[in-house]
Amino acid sequence: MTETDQYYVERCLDGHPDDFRHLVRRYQPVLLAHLAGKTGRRDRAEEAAQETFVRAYFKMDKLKKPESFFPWLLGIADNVAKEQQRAEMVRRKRESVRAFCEEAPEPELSQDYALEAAIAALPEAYREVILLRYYGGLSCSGIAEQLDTPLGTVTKTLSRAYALLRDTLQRQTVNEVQA
Amino acid sequence: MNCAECNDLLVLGLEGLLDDSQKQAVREHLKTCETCRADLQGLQTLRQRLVGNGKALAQTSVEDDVMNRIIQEQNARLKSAAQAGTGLRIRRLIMKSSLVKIVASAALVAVALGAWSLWSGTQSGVALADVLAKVQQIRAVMYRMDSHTKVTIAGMGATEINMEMTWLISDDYGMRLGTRSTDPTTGQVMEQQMYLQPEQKVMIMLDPAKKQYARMPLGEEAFKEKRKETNDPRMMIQQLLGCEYTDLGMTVLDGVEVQGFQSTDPAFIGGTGDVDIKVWVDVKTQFPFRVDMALKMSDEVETQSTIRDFQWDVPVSAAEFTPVIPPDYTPSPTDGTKAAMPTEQGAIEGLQFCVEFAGAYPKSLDMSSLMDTMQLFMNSQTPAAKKFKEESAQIKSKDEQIAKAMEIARPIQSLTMFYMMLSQQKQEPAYYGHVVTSSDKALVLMRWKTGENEYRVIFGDLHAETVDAATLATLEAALPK
Repeated sequence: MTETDQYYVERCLDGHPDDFRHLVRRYQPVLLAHLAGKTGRRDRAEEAAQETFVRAYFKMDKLKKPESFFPWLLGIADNVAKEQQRAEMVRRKRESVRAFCEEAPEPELSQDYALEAAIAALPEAYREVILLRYYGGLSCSGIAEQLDTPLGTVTKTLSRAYALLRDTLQRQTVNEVQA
Repeated sequence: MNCAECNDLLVLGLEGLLDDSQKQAVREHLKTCETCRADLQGLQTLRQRLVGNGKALAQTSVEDDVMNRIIQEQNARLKSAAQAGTGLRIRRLIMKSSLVKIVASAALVAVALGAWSLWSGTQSGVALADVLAKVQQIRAVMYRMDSHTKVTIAGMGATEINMEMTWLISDDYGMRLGTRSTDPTTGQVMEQQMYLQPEQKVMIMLDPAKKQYARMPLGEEAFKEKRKETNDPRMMIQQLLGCEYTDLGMTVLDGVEVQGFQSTDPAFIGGTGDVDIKVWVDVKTQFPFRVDMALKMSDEVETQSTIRDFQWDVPVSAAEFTPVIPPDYTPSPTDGTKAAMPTEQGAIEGLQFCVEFAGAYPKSLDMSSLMDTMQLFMNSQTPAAKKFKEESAQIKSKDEQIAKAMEIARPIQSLTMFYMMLSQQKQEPAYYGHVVTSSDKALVLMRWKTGENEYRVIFGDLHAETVDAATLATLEAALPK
């Protein structure tokens, strides 16, 4: 599984749809982390990740730069998450009328929701590097290669991303303590 | 070194990107600076948390669900005339890729849990997934199946047979099947009782008209598989759920309010042929009430059948599954021969047999190419084939001729049944008999998925190994085009 995203995208477009599997395998933890941070629920994140991949597959011929598969995929995931949230709001409104006396089941929170939410809140460039490093299994030089940026830029971005994450997580802890 | 400089280097250090002199400088600074030490500690904690979360999320796989959904969506698009443009593009893709065929059959036949959840929410009235949940709790079921089968062989005309079968299946004791076959042209009737005994690992056939019995041994693994091809209604519902199907709405059959589900998805019989299956579910009890099936497996074989008179959770005892062979019964010519079994061992024996008998592996293992394989056998001039033909010519009794023919039919049956079962159970089987010969020790002849990242491979020389996906990909890349 050392082929580039571009290779697999082109394989799929070239009549080997089964090779999409490799892209799913490569990016499923990344998408799950990203979406769990946005939705706060593991089941929703899984649903949204599936939907994202399926949409990506059928839109693949519209992907102008196959080497940018990953940021493009994240963009689709963002749209899916937004749609899911809208649908969820509509559903809740309906249900709140109907079932105000029934106990709503606790939604199943993701494993480390605080961390995932903090990642989801990062500016795009930082989020991308954290996701690829810890959920996409890439080294810093791997990320540099994939994003076509110098290694120094990657490590600086990563360093800044850590600082931002630590800030957010610390604030969350303080808020929890005060609450 | 000051704190700002140290800070810049900490991340590089954690990533293993510092040279020795930089490492030394950072170490020196850390010895004296408490702030930077705390900073490093904080970074390490965060990294551990990220790694832990990454690992936890890596446990979840949406891969199969995604691929199944893609195949379903693709088929839906192909069928939709309104989207002819999209359809054409995808159709071209499908034609180009041989792998897609495998994936398509694997995905469509999905008996996966994921498939139920997709559908169960969208049905009104009865949901098939609920029906499956109900029938899976049943320990024993009795039902009747009437079928009409027509087999046409080029140059030999058509043979027709009507069968009435009464099945009794128990999770605890085994299976009993009573068959009454009628030849519609001659009116000749044949009756048979079959018992499948898990304890003794044996299948026993009784023929009351001829006063004969046959005991056919089964392996442990074989017994499990035999259960699956018994038209167990539970398996049928499960298979149907994995296929594309439509809700036919409510109607009344024999005074009972039922809801119908229909599938014309060839995946139901493993990917080839014409299928029309309707399952009628009793709305009140949510149990299947009647099943109508029309299957055309190839140009040569077609069958229509109806399953009805279901008795769910019927009380059973061990005695009902234990045949009493009357003392005046004699062993039939098939007594002691092995029953055809859809197992790996059965498949290897089948392939072995093809090489000995026809000098080559079959080109394909689809149901539709079964007749081609038989043709290959008929025309074969190998020593084994010649010997078989000479021996057959000596046999006068029809029963013994049937038993003799079973010698050829059984290995092929095992092989074809095994392949069909693998595709029905979406185990991604692939077969390369058109390019691989018995001297190709290192080439993949047949493979199927046995687990996450795990495949079973039968090589050209018929030894079998378990390999991971990467190894399989390398092996398959080595196949001649």
